Amino acid sequence: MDIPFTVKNRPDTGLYNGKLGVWLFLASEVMLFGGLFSAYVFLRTGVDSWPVGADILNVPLATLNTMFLITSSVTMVMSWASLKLNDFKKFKLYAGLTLLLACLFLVVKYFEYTAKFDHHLFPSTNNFLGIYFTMTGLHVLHVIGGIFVIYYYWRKFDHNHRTLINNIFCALFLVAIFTNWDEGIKGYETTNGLISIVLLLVALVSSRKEQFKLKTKYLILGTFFVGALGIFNFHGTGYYLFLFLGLLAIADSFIFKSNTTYESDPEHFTNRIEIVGLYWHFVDLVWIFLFPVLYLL
Amino acid sequence: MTIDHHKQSFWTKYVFSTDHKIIGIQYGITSLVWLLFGFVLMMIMRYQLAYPESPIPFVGGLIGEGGILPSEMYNSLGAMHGTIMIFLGVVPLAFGAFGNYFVPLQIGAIDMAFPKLNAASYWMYFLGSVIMGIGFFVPGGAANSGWTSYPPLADIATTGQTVWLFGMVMLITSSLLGSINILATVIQLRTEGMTWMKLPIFVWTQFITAFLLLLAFPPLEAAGVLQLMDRLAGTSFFMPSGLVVSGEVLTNAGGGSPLLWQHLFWFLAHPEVYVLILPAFGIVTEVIANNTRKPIQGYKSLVYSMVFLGFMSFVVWAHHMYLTGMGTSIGAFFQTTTMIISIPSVVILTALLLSLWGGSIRFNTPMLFALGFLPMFGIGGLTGLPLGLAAADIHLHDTYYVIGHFHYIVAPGTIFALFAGIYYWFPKMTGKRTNEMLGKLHFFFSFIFMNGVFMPMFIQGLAGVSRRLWDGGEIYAHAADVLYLNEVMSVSAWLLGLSQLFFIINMIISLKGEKTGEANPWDATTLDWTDTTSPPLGHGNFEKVPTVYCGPYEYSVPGSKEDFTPQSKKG
Ligand code: HEM
Ligand SMILES: [Cu+2]
Repeated sequence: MDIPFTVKNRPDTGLYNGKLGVWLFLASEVMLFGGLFSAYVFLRTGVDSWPVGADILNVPLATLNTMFLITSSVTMVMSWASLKLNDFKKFKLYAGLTLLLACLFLVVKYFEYTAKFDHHLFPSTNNFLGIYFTMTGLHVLHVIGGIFVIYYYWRKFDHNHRTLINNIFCALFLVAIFTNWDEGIKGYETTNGLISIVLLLVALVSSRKEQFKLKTKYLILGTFFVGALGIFNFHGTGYYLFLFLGLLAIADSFIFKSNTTYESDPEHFTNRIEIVGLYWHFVDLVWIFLFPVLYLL
Repeated sequence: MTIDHHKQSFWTKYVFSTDHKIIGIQYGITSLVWLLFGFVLMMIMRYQLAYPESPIPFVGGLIGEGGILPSEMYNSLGAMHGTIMIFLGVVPLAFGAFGNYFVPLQIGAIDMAFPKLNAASYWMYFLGSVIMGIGFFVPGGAANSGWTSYPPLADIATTGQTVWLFGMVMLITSSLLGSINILATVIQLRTEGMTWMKLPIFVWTQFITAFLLLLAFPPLEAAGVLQLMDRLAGTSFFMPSGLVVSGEVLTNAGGGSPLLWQHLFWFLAHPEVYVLILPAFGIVTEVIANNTRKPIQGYKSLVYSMVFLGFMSFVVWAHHMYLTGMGTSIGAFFQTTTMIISIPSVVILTALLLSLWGGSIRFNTPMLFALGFLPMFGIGGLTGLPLGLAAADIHLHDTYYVIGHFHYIVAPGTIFALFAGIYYWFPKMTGKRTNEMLGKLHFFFSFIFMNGVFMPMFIQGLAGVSRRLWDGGEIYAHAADVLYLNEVMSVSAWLLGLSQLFFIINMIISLKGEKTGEANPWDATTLDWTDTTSPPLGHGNFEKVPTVYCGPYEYSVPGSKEDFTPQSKKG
């Protein structure tokens, strides 16, 4: 049983289902952010004084972020175009670049947020900061959503890719453990840390060999649990980062199935990337509105 | 052959199904349970209104101390009654259940455009409804700031309000997925020959409803996020400066505006009113056309009126806010748009009434409910006109008159239409027939007691009795003359509750009964009846996907042998 027009266009509308679906979704998103922008105008016109964004917020960092997002929109288009040309390698390259730029955006945003908190500037400080955190926060959630979806299509791999990803996660794990090291040297956590590292090294080695592939994910799980035991007497940003990455690694190796659409139906896969691209441009566009409204006006 | 025959386990077939028919039934059962629950809340509240401060029978034990309903809890139950009835009851039943089950069947589609999204939409709704239910168990009880959640009250209310907001965000996401699906299905999956002007009115109403949900809900989501920020992160979006609560000035940054919430809220909530009524129009039209054995009068004017109604519903929202001190010119704008929007409703009602003219009407249960809908909706609509005029609204605002007005539209109105739909399509969904005798009793008693509940509200409201009163107005001198009506309304409400036993018993008996297996017991013309079995075959609906040649209501066409011409009949 196949639903019509999932891949081919319906002649009288000139669209396939998914494309129409994403346009409708974006229409509702316009209303969502439209509602927030009107709230912003309403709040701002309702009071006598309103701070100038540039005095409080970091314009250079935001400009950098704008560059990141615009470039990522371009690479997103390139990845779709590569698929159209049947060049899967190029697709992986450009989609990977998009992911990277999106992550860089988040990193910069993280530094922006923490700098505000360090200066005791919170959403509750005034309504300007309130709306700033709410709107950019919601936008960040959209970016994260996009990252997950792009990653899902990007990550379809053969064995080598799987090894690559496991290695990346293992490496990140190690970094997280080492950043915790000096705080963690209190006997108990040290043992945990050591066990984690041993497990990880085994995971790294085993992932090199096809026949051990299955076990790698259990080793990652094991590492996580041993590390997670530290939660009873250990707290800190680095440690939470460790837990977070661990959860991601586990989700990655257990939940996400490899997407096989490209093998079975390349046109369908290309359509999906087109849809993801439309969404990604929208996320980009929202930022292009947010940037002047919040930072400059 | 379009039907999937491979074996599925119970779980994939009935629980995590992606078949639109199963999902429709899941929606239907869940929403009926919530409707009953919301009604029970009201029956409890009506006891306190009729006999203030006496212990409530049966459920008094659950309420605590002596079984008397405390005033805070009255507020909780009222707010949850409104929320549950609208967001967990009527909309999921009218749009989620009927829309899911019958839109694909009526347009000749084998399923919805995005079956997995469809399942996700149901489970989001389910989760949202569970979250709403959890609200009753948090400290301070469920949300108690009314279904409208007006700040600043809602900003400083007990934890229940936070739970309410989280629940709403889930429900909004669910209805977003649902509406995208209906829109894409109708636009993309109409079968060959099913042009726009051949769509059954039911499909049109679902289509417009989906548009309203898609575009009106997100601003409420935005408002919900802002209110969550106010409550959890200490922002002051809806908090004015220098607010004094219980004698103390709040330490918020201030500078916000409670009116902002009202704008965002009513931008959703007025279109929401049409979300509650449009599917009802659709069902009633199908039932009336079928049982008068006549084409619907003015099919095109019906369609255009409904589309116009949809558009206009986005520019009338501030008629709920005449008392907020808006300027007279803004007031005049919203009064005008409100008067204009009543025109299409009148056209629709007239078209349906004219359709009755000269028909040889079959008075079966679905038809009785459909006929009951017409005058009830008429009363609801007419009593709304004074509320649309600022001068009259100043007197009537926040009185029982308003409660009477909108309940005539949603309770004896929409709920009757939904019953009509259940009785009409029951044979299709189950292959069995309902009991006519029980159905008619259900209708007559419901009709009498519905009016017994809501008619006196107009009288109380005109006398100036306010809504949301815990003691039903006992302490007000101006209410003294109409106070006796409280008991009349309450007794009617309980009897209305009892009358629903006819429905429940009917459902149980009919479900246990024999299959008749008739595909088209009502001799209807639309594809759901003429081209599928009862119930429609597994995942895939049609043995052979039909092609459409005729309009949706070709009844008693001169020169034709039978008195109905199926849409899929050639020539
Ligand atoms: C058929 C049985 C029903 C009865 C007896 C009933 C009765 C009432 C009464 C007496 C009130 C006013 C409570 C007060 O102001 O203190 C009320 C409020 C309300 N009802 Fe109903 N109702 C029924 C069905 C419905 C339905 C089907 C809907 C919606 C689709 C609905 C939506 C509401 C709303 C939104 C409110 C306002 C809640 C608030 O004040 O925040 N009701 N109902
Ligand atoms: Cu309204």
